[in-house]
Amino acid sequence: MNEPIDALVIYRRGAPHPLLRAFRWKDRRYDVTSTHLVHRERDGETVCLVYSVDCGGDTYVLRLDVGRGRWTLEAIG
Amino acid sequence: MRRVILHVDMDSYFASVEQQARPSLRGRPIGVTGRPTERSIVVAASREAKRYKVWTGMPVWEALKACPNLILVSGNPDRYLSVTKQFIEILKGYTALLEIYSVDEAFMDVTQEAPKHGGPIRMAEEIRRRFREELGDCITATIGIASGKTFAKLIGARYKPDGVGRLDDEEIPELLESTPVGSVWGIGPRIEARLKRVGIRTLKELGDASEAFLKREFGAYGLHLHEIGRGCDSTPLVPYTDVPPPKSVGHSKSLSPELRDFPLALIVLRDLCDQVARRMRRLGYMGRTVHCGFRVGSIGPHYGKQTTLALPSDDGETIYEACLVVLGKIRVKPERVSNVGVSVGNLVGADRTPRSLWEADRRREQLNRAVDRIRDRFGDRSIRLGTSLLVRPIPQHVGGFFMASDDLEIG
Repeated sequence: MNEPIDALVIYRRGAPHPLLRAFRWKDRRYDVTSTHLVHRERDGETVCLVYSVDCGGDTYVLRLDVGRGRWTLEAIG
Repeated sequence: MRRVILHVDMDSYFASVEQQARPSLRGRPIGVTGRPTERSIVVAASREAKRYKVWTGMPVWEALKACPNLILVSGNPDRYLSVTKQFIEILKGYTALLEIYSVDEAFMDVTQEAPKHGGPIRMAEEIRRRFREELGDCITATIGIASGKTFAKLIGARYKPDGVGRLDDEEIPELLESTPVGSVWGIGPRIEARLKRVGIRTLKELGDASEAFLKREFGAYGLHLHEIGRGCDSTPLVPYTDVPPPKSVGHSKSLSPELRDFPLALIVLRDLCDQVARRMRRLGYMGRTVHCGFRVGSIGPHYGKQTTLALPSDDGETIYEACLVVLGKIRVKPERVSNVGVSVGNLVGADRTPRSLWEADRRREQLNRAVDRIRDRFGDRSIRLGTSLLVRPIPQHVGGFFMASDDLEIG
């Protein structure tokens, strides 16, 4: 999908990655109810964190380009 | 003081990580594969799939026969390596004597640390709790506890999945008597067959055999076998901080059916040479001995030979030319091959190797450095050999799930 989104995150001291709390996509807010998995991917200098999260029963896959600070929605379901 | 060794073994690892990432897969039989086609093999089966007798290494068509509801999932090596780094980080918090044995297994020597955590069992439970909390409920581990690596692994296997098993000294005689030699780590089918030929079927029988006989039959390894048979195991841990330098750098690739014609396999081999050379340059090594081989048919014979270069090299083209020399030495000329591989040994530090004075070689070095810079910045797929465009992209992690110690970047 590669849809740009706004994300609400918490940078908690000692946590291995920012904690995603909510995101906004197409003028709708999605609150993250649980985080299933966060993994890191690298392609050259580009480092991304890939989040698999649950929002109200649906699973969303989101990607944070760490270098650019840019969030995208990658997949639903 | 008797050692306290923990063997941490992740349960159905790749499948568990997939189930953690994708809740829709939880509680369902899944098989992780390279490519979800019938011609592929199952690289990891979820515990639900294992109930249908789907095992690692089983061809997909056979797995689907055993479990028609099996869900095939394409593997994601980046995801597994990332989770491995996370669980290794947790383990590093408990002891520095940590050996990263593979992408889903580690040994820990906690002789000093266990008492501070209330003993080894409490410590193991604490590690498993942290895995659940920090990695996710689906990603579980089984931990075996014993005084040596072999026995920790052996006892852990009896408590899989999601358990903790401890072997106390008084339980060793029973274990030795009931354990077939083939189920012991390090004793493969060939050694097992040789042992069976002389009437050794259990660990106890191995311990009862004469040390001189085992040494004569198996060399220094026979002494280790004898020690295991007597319930001892002094094999030292290799801490992650003290990993010995590599003896060789290599890659191999199982070919999908459309790539099995020999000319196409050579294109794959050229790409593998490029990957080997790139890894050597990244690790700072050059090598002189080039080993190249191929397999005919899925269970057919493997043919391989090696050649020695006049000077050490870390150049993909030079390694490939050496492979062609090696292939020329192999008298078998197959039309179709199922696997190709190349490795370079006899390694020396690149900084201890004199540079060639020939202009062509220096230009080649410059070209490699430029290509490395491009790949470092834009990724390994950003610049490729023209010939490799003739075949489908070869995964960077050859075979889908290869892991080298440098992949973990731990040191």
